[in-house]
Amino acid sequence: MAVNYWSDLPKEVLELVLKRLAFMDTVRFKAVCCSWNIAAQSYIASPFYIPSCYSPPLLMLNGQQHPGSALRFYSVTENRYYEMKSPIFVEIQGYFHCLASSQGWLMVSSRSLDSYSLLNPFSGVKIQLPRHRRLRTFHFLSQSALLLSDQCSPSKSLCVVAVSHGTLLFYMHGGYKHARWTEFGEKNREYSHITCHNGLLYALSMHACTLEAWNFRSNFPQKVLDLKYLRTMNLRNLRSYLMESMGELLLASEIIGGPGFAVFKMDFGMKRWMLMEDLWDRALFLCDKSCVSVSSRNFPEVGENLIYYITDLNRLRVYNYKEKKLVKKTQIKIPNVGNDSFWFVPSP
Amino acid sequence: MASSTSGSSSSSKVVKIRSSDNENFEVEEAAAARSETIKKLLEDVGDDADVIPLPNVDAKTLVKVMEWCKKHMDDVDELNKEEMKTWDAEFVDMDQSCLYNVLLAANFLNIKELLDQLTQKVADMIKGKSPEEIRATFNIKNDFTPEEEAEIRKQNAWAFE
Repeated sequence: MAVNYWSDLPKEVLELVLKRLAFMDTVRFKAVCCSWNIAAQSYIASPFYIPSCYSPPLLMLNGQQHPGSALRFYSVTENRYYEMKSPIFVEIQGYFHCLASSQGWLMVSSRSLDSYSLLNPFSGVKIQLPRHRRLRTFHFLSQSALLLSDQCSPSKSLCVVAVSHGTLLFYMHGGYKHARWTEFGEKNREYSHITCHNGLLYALSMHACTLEAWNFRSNFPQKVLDLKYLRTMNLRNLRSYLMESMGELLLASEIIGGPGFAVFKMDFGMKRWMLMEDLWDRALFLCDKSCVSVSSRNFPEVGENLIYYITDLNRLRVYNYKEKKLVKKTQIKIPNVGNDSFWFVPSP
Repeated sequence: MASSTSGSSSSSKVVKIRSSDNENFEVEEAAAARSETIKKLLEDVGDDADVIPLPNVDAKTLVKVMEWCKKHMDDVDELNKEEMKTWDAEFVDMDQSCLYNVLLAANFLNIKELLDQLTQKVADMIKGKSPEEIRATFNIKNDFTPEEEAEIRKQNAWAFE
């Protein structure tokens, strides 16, 4: 029997394995042997490859902890730190301010908040974003930005959607010469959350109890759903997180007097948020700048029914949703995280 | 056209399959039909099927695969979910060379759920390991030239530290 028969696995089998690996493991997978390297490269280059938006995120340690040109990440599942050095960080050093993360990109601003860019720390690609008056005080309120994946936006273009001061803005990069941020959405809605789901952008207004879906396939977004939902008693306005998870739209809300969360899923037929008793094989990673849902079927290391979140005091906590209690520090090693840390799913 | 082999046919119906090393097995049709490849062959030959030859799978591997198929014969499982999960976890916990053979067989026989479980097992064996550790786990020879390897490591040095 050949010594290296594992390296001869058919490409389609290797792809099934790759589908179940987080980004860091994919990188090391590529360094095993020639045939695995080729399989991983062609998998990432294939049209079927979706940047692993459902793989365990890294906690990006923002703030003053990384002197020099290094970015620091903490991997909860591997219980270790990664330190990335790249010339691009030298360039942004001194004025780095991260506003949001999505699809492997960071939306960063200068410290003085007058210049914005998109940055992929792993590929080193940087895209300058235009200015907009509403983005001026972007950082100080609970706001977010989102990069639409290829399924949502026209091919070959990169679309960023942001919610700032209750207003929706989009910017399409590439294709148009004088592209700029454009406002869209209904008047007086006070949008609070946005996320991608089923190839559409969903915009929530907790103030107006509305959920809208927008199609980004043409040059200007088109509204395809405008749903008024029933007000739910224990759904708080503050500290709630909207995300897509295994084909469903979830809203996680911090319990008053916590620690703890109430997680709801949208029942589009009943037009209401239904309280979930159980998250099943989900693990949710929550923070203001990005939310990620990971399936513990593909990534057993994340655990079932767990919510990873960051407290006001910059502590990472893990909450067991089914047992309705915090996971003890003795069970999971949890580091103290710095100011302004957030979840980041790397993508090549 | 060929008669349908799924659905209405009685579950006790038995089909014969033959391994690459010429061993014959009698398997319940509902179990064998978990394999899309066998199901398709059965549909093609209809009721005249004598023995279905499987030239890519040896007897030892076929026994293992059919053990899984039998357990997963009915989609509506009588067993509770937890028990099934434990059974599946024990099933994929096999030695590395056996895992390789069953993986290839599941791919050839086109048994999606089994393939999912096995590739998950392989992925779990890879996670968190360095390239050297992965090679040691699967007995893989490093066939990069020193230049190629240096280049790969340089690209993503942070991942290897």
